[in-house]
Order: sequence, then structure tokens, then C-alpha cells
Amino acid sequence: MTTIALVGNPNSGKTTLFNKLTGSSQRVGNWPGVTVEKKTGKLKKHEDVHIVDLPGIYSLTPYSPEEVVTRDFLSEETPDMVINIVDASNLERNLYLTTQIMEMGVPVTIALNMMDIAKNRGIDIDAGKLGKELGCKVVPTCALKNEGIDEVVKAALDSVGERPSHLRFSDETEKCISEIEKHIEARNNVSTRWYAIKLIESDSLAQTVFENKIEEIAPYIQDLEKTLNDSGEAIIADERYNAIAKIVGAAKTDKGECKTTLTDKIDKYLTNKWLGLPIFAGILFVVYFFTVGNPEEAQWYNFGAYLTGMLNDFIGGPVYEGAVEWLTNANVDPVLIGLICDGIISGVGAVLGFVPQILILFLFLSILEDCGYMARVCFVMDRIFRRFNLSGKSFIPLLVGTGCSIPGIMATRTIENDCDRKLTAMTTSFIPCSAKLPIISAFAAYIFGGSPLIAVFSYFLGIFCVLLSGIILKKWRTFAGEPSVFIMELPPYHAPKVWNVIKTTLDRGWAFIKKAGTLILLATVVIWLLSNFNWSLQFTEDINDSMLASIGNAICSIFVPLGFGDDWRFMVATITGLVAKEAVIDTFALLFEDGNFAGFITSAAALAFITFNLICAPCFAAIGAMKRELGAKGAGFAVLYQCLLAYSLGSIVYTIASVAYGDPINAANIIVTAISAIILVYVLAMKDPFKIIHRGIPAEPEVI
Amino acid sequence: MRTIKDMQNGDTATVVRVHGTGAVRKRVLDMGLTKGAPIVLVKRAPLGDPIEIKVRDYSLSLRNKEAEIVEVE
Amino acid sequence: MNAATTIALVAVVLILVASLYYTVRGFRAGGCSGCCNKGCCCKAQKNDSPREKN
Repeated sequence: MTTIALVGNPNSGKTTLFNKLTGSSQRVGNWPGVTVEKKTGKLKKHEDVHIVDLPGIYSLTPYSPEEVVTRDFLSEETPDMVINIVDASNLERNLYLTTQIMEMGVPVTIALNMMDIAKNRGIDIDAGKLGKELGCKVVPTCALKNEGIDEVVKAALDSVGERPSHLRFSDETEKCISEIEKHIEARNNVSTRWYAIKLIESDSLAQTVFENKIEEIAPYIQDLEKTLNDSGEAIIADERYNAIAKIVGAAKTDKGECKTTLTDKIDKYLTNKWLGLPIFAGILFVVYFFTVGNPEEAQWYNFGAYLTGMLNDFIGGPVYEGAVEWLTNANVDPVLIGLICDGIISGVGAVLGFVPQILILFLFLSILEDCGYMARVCFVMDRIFRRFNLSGKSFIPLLVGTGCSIPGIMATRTIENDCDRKLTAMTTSFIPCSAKLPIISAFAAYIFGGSPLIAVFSYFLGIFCVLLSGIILKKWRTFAGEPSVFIMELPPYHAPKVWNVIKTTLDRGWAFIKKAGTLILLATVVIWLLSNFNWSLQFTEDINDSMLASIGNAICSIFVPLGFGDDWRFMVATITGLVAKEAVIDTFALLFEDGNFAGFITSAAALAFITFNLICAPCFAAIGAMKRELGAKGAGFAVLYQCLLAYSLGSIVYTIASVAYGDPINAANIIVTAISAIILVYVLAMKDPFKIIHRGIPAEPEVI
Repeated sequence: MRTIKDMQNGDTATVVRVHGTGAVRKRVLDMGLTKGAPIVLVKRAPLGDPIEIKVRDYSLSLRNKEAEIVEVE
Repeated sequence: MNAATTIALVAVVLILVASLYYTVRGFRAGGCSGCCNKGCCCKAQKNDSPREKN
């Protein structure tokens, strides 16, 4: 079996090539850090060749967690050969990585990608000459247009066993390298030269590997640093870039035309001093104007809501009635008709009805991800987010999280700083995901007369909680620390690839439908059974006699302070929301006539319900994603924190809304609100509010 | 010492030395801000921070805090 | 129980078994049948999660 690893700078097109080579459909996008995990596939028509797609990396000294994956794979599991994807429009920085891989001693084949972009900028690259100067094979490709793919694979497979050549540094450096090489030995087929250079760079991973040799080699490095009057890492970086500049100079002809690219022209407006923030707000407004809305009264231009309304009418009308009629005529038992029609069709249908809205949302997100705007959002928002102890890069997880929290939580891996990363992973689920969209829409429609303000309220609540948590959690010792750095590439814009956008949208839409047919269907049946049978397992017409009612009644009083504690059905919906947030609407469809809960909940309590359900623990799948990023203890802490915050804010929202609507407030609410407000103010105002708790916990080791 | 932070929008300069320590310094070097590299300061973000620069034919953004460690002339 | 009811019952049970099967399979594949993004986390390999930096 042969393993080929795909390595390259972030955003150079590795995953596009991977998809072409293996026939799979991994997510691609135009921002650095789309791929955060190693992925393996089999080469088409070559069952014995494995292709490994690795997260993008700028240098073999890893910086953020997803880059560690790449470095570890290359140095520990040493692939048989590497296809290095090089962005032709950005040659020098890309070759900086190439030359490091070649030093490892693995055969390298370069796929020279994005030649078209380079050509548009008036840059012409002689692939043959480049290959000769570098000492490895260079194949021009265009992964998007399927050009050069077969040639790259062939060249790579031919290169097996070859030892690539490497850069020559200055005489002083070369001398130091060869001295160090004498003291160390090769590991996992990785050359001593590579380790020697890494040791000069004082790379911490290489230092751990040769821990007992550090003292022996230190004098050589000190000598070199003294001679060249700089630190080892700077010497190597300088000399490497200088050597590359020479190679590139020989292979590249820059006609020097069109120095202002289209990207520069677009950025003149999108990241403009005055227009940058308003344009971003405008784009968000447009997305949600077309997506969120009242399905009942939507005009045709609110595509999402309008189509959702139509689909809901179709499922609730012809499909439901047709099924009832057909089954009744066939003389099927009424209890079973109830399960099929009032259970499965109504419940799953209530979720499926939102498919158009979800598709429109995913369509917009795919376009935003594909065109290159995401990195600009980070650029524009960084200053604001840093005020709340988050990085501008936190914005990508949050924006991805509006589709689904799980990829959002995973996208936090591109954040270098450990504290910021954990903080973002814990707060991503506050942003309403596509599954929470139906909850918002249903409440807007039934309780608030289709007011668009409910959606605005929900998204602002999400952002508010993220920012609030940034301040609060930074005071918790685990998250304390210096704000992270923000060194980020701004990729050139490109027009969204129509096919790519459609495919991503349909993939995600299909996943939503599949979920409705599996997890939601099961939840529906369980809820239906529990809500139609009593404890002696007798079918009951009165839902208040059911098992579900008695379970709900037993515990629903905990929500009295939030205003919806006297109706057990809202309690049950909150619990089923843990399975999947769509299940909230599914539960309403089963427990209320036509799923219409108007009249059973006051407006103030409805706001508290929305608040609690949006902020509290996300679905199990998202909790699982948090567990992967934060560990079991961290995820447990996150869920506890989210639920407490949701409860406090829900209570506060209920108090304020009740006062505003002139409703009476219950005593339990006043007590909880008062306690919550005191705690929140205390935590926000005090410098070290968790001192008492921290005293009992031994200090954790310093995090980077 | 003049650093990237002191540059005005549209200014061009050449990197002299990268100060600072540890991972941040390494990252700045890795991204191509090495001795002699010509850079252009394209613009500052709407709220004055971060900064967008052009270096080695691509756009890079970094905060004032990181820009401060790159000495230019 | 009449014939139609029996057929309907069998159909419902079959659907349930199928959905249970696919739910479990989805969860086993990557721990997230609920994920809206097959490219991102399903089929994910466990050892890929970022190591704790201590």
C-alpha cells in the first residue's frame, strides 16, 4: 500500500484536488482553514493508493492545533510521497513550505495550481525551469478545471524512493547543520538535515525528540547566532526566503502589468474605513431578510419564508388529509392512524416544512464561504471582538455556526491561542443554528404576529451572549491569558463556483432531511407514544392523562420563574430540544392542535422560552463536538455554564418583558431575576470574581 | 526604530529586522516578513486595527501589536 | 385486527427499524448524525482532535 499526502499552504486548493483524486465531496471554501482534520481516501482506479488530505500549513513549525495534525503526520507517519500543492500566484511563500518538506527526504511532486490567477496578474511561470532549480518535478494543474490531475498522480507515483535535493544555505549555516547532523540520527525516515535545521530554529517538537542532545549541540547554534548576529530561527527564515527568491527569479517573468488587482478594487469598499462595517451589517441583513420571516404572510421576495409557508400548507393540507382519508377508507385502526398522521406526518412534516428556509440559508453561507469574504469579516470585526477578549477569527466559527454549530465548533481549530479557541468553542452554539430557525419562525408566526423583530432579537441575543461570555469566562482561570495574535492571509476573491455552491447547499440540505427521517422520526414516535398512553399502557384521548403529561408536570415547575412552568408541554419541548433543536417544533406539532400554541403562553413567557432554548445546552451532537474540542470536563463545564446562563437570562427577559407588557410577575421570577442580576453584575464588575472557587482548585499548568 | 505600525496607508518600506520572541516572531518570519522583504501598507481596518499589508505578492493582515515588532526602513 | 391495520403496522415498524438503523449508523460513523455537513465531521478520525497543549 502506498500513501500520498497532500500538503500545501492554507487555501491553496488541496481539498479540491483531493475531491478530484478520490471522487469524494469534502467541504471546500475560500478562507484559510476550511480543512481542520486529516482525511483519507482511495485514489480512483488505484485501490492500493491512499490519499491523505492534510490541513493547510505555512511552515513545518506548527502554530495552531490543526497545523499540528499536518506536522505530526509528516514527521511521525512519513508518507511514501508528497504532492505539494503550490499556489502559483503566491510562489515565494508557498515554496517556503516546499523546501522544508524536501529537506525531510520524502519525494515531493509539485502541483502548480492557480496558474490562471497568476496569468491574470501578468505573471508567467516556467514550470520546467522551476522544477530544475528546485530539484523536483513540477506539474502545472488546474484542479477546478480538471487539468493536469492525471499527470500529477503519475509523476508522484513515479517518484517513489527518490531522494529530493535541498536548498543550500550560507557556508556558516551549512557548517552548523553538518555539525549537528553528526550528533543526531534519522527518525521515521525523516532526514537528519531536517531535524538539524529544526533544532537551529529551536523548534520545540524537535527539541523534545532530541532532548538529551540539546546540550551537545547548543554551542554550534550559539556560534552561528553570534557570527550572523541574529537568532537561529531568523537566520534560517532569512536564508530560506533569499534562496527561494533566487529560484523564483529564474523561473518567473513578471510583466508588471495590472498591479491593482480586482481583489484590491473590491476591498477598497468591503474593508473600507467607513463602509466596511455597514456593508457587513447589510450583507447579514440581506441574508436573513431572504431566509427568516413569517411563513404565513411572507411575500414572494422573502424566498425562504414564502416557500416554507407553501410547503407547510401542502404537508398540513393535502398530504395529511389525504393520508387520513386513505387509511380510514382502508379501515385501519384509529390508534394507528393517529400514530401515522398526527404523529409521524405532523411531527416530521413540521420539521421538513422548513427545508426551503434552510436551503436558502445554506445557499447564502456557501456563497459567503466560497468567495473569500470570510477572511475580510475577521479583518473588519477583529477590533470589536478583541474588546470582548475574542479574536477576529472567532467570527468564522460563529458565521459557520449559523448553519450548524458542529462545523462551527470544529472551525475553532484555526484559532491559534488555546484560551481563545476554547472560549469560542464554548460560545459558538449561542448563535442560532439552522435547526433553531424553525423555533424562531414558529414563535414569530403564532405569538408575535409575524414580527421580524423576533429574528433580530434572537441573533442579537446570540451575539450578546458570546460577547458577555467573552468577558465572564476570561475571568475564569482556564481561559485567562494574553490575547492571541492575529496573523492572517486575506485570500484573493473569486466568483463563487456555481456547481460547488449548489453541491454544498444540497449536501447540507440533504443532511437536514436525513436527520428529519431518522433522529426526528424516532423522537416523534417516542413522544407520540408517551403522550397518547397512560401509565397502565391504555390508549387515552385526553393528553393530560398521558405518561408524558405526568412526567412533564412533575418537573415543569422549575420553569415557573421563566413564565412557562405551568404548562408541561413547553417543558417537554425543551427536553426534546436536546435530541435536536428541530424536535422542539416537532413536539409542538404533536402536543398542540395544528402545532399552534398561541393562547397557551404569554408573549413575555414566549420571549423567555426562546431565550432559554437558544442559549441552553445545544443538541447532543453539538455537545459531542464540544467534547472533542474541549475534553469531557471542558464540555461538561460548557453545558453547565450555558444552562445557568440561559436560566438567568430567561428569567431576566421574562421580568423585563412582563413589565413592558404590563403582565403580573410571580414571586419566584422576582427572586431568580434578583439573584441572577446580582451574580451577573458581581461577575462583570469584580476583577477576580471566581477567587473563592479557584482557591479550592490547584493551578493548571500554563497554556500557550 | 520605525516599525510597520508607524507607516501610513500606501507607504512602501523594506523589512530590516523582526524583533520580539517565541512563536509570534517565528510566525511573522514564516509569513515572509524577513530581512529585505519589500512591503506595502494597504490599509487599516475600520477601527484602526488590524493592518493589511502586501508582502511577497499576497495580502496579510496583522494587528498593531504584531506590526510593532517588525522594524522597517 | 383487520388486514389493513396489520399491513400498516408492519410498514410503520419497518420504517422505525430503518430509521433506528440509520440513526445508529450515523452516530457510529462520526458521532454526529445530527451534523449538517458531511464533509466536515462525519468520518472524522478520533485521533485528529487537537492535543491538549500543556
